[in-house]
Amino acid sequence: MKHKPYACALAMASAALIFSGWTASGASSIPKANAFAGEPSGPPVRGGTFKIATAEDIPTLDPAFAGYDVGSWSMTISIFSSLVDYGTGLTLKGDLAKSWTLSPNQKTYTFHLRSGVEFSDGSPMTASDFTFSIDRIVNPKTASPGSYLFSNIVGAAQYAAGKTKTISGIETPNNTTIVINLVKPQPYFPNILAMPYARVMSPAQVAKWGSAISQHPLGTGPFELKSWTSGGNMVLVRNPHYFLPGRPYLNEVIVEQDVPDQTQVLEYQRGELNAVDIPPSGFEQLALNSKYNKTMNVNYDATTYYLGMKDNIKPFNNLKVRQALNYAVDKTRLIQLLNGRGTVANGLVPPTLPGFNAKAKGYAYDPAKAKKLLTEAGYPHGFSTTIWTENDDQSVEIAQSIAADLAAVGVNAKVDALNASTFVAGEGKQGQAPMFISYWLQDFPDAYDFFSNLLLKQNWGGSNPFYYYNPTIEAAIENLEFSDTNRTQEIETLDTEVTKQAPFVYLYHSITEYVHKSNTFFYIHPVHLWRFADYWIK
Amino acid sequence: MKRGRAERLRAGLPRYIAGRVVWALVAVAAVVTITFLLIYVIPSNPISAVLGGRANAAQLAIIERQYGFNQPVWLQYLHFWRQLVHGNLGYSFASHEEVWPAISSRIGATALLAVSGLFLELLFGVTAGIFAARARGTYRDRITMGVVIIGLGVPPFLMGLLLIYVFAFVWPIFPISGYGGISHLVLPSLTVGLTGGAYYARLLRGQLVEAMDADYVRASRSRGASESSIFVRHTLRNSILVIVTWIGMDLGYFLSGIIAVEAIFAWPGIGNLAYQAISTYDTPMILGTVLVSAVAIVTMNLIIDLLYPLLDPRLARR
Repeated sequence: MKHKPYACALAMASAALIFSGWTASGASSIPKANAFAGEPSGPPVRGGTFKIATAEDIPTLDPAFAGYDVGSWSMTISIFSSLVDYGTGLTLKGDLAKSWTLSPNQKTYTFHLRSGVEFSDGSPMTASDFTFSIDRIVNPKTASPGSYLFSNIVGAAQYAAGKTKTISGIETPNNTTIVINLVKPQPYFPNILAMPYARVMSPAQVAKWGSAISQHPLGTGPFELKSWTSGGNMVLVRNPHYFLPGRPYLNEVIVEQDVPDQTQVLEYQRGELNAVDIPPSGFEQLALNSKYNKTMNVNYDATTYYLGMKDNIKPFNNLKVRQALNYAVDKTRLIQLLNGRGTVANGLVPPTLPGFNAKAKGYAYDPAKAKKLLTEAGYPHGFSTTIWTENDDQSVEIAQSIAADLAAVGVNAKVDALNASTFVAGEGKQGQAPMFISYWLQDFPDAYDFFSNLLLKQNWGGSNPFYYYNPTIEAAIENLEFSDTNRTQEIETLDTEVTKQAPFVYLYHSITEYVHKSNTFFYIHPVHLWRFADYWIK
Repeated sequence: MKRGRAERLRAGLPRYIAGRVVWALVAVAAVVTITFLLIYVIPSNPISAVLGGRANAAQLAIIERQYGFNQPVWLQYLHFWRQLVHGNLGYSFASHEEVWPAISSRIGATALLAVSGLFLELLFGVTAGIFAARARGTYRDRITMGVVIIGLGVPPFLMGLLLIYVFAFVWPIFPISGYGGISHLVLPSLTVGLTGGAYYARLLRGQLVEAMDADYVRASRSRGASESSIFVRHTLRNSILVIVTWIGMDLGYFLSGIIAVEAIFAWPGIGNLAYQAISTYDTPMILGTVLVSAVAIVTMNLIIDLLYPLLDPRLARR
């Protein structure tokens, strides 16, 4: 997941500084918090209304398009169910499926569904509805950006080409059994099934509403849509036909759209919201305030921030230059600028994922070594370049710190702070954005997501804005796609190899801090982020 | 401005009206064309907006065909107008839904904010302008105009945040943000009214002070008319035309202020929609909101043009 619509509360955040008398963020220490600080005690309580806000519009509730922004993702997984889904961590459990098996050749999954599952309007859900839903994603007419995720299902390509009426590799021998045949073993295939794309829709509802289906979602999930005012509130209520007895706990979820970060903080302080992410501008108000930070938690985001460059042009096509740049940047300083909300990236795989190597050394800050490598590469006096960054306060601060580090080794980097749309549009273009600061956020919790998207040639100009290509790495990634034995070890090895090649400058993995009311059980799910089905209010 | 209108009016009222309407249509077409071209000229990749920054070649081809990006710009432009004539503004890249229903569902909220904001602007502006002009040269004049200068200098987003902080946070009288009853409307429209009203106050004071020294005022005074009747009949009446002209000229700026206010207060209007569309590079939605705003501005100006003969009978009589 690369691009989320960015909240642009920038000017407002700076204005907020004026009347709160805040100082610029220093290296203030953050209060330590564990993952579930200040949660209410006792067993979960049923009932209540949970309210939270987002700075963006929630674009869609159509699972075909819900995989690219946090809001759509969290809402969609609350309304629609999948065959399998996560517990509170990364372990997959049955959702619509009560059990499943994998064949010895690891190419055939058989899912046994719960019986008597109903959509929230009371109509029955059957195995063929799953087939319909996957067909719809893969169908080129739907133009879902998630279609590629299902290309390893037998017959998906033929179906996409219009040669068959349905994907032949998905079989439904009876109403409660689904058999999925894969072309090659794909260990993280169940993770893909837990994404919004693979959620089960009602064929009758899709036929009824056509392109307006996003406004009329009908699923078998814990909640159903009650109302959605464009630019106003989205309200979810408990699905009376939900298959898990006693769940969900909450009666109602209200999501306020388009509320700027700083306003969210004020609303939280006034007790109107149950939880809020702490924006950079709200650090002192919430994180350093003893009235609020007792219920402050941290979430290790599955992100890797990088300083990218166009690896196919001079001087970045020189490995020594790329390594020199990695040594030149003081990552610890960046973490300070983030008020400690990040960990130094010594590899591409973030700390939340299997295959993360805590012992990896990465590139320690070493300007002398950087200068030496630049000299060896034929740039004893450095060179001039431009760093693109988005124009919010924090990104610009990070960019300036990096530019100062580069200047110290002779690389003269001009910082161009751009609005989000210009940045996203130009980042992957040849001839633009020689260097750029960006990040990757996981789609599904497997390191393959990071390696394939960022480094494969087929993603040049898109998720591989570096135009990076290395046949050895490419082969290793392709091998990883379907590899199962020793997978964690293979990921570690691949990460080490890629780090040596320095396709970009490794910066940090981000950390999100948030606070919640003391009567509210709230946490950020490692994949789904907001998962309302797990929250409750005492 | 005034003279131009007078000359056009000489040709007769029907012809004046027809001319104004034609110009209004040309203006809308020009705004849409310029916006369309700008979107294609500036560095952009609408496909990355559609696919959220990621695409492989096969997906690119599908999206290109679906949205017609593979066609030359002029063909896309023609297609845009052909759709427009049929009342179709296309589909949003972000939500994959029709643009027009998304916009139309938000017109009410923006209209409510605009009308109440304009009302407060005029209320504050005219009151302060009259007060300062009548007290001209005194400390009351100086204090009033001092406050006005501050109002001119404070941008709407800062005014909005200040009002939120004081009247929704420190003294929680009004809601912090959102849309609902009258209580939700107070702070956003006050923000518009306070920042915009300052312009009217300064403008009106200047006009009034000038008119107070005019020959016809002195003539009335020498005939023994009372000061208040002179003020209402002559001074104010002659100055009010300037205010009306200013409303028309100011509309573009006024609407851009509304965008900022909507963003601060999470007001579900067109401004917020445009703001979100720009930040996600949602081209059809940007074009749609620009088109609707252009139509609104041009229509308001048209109404003001048509009001002119009523407000200044000299213009209609010629």
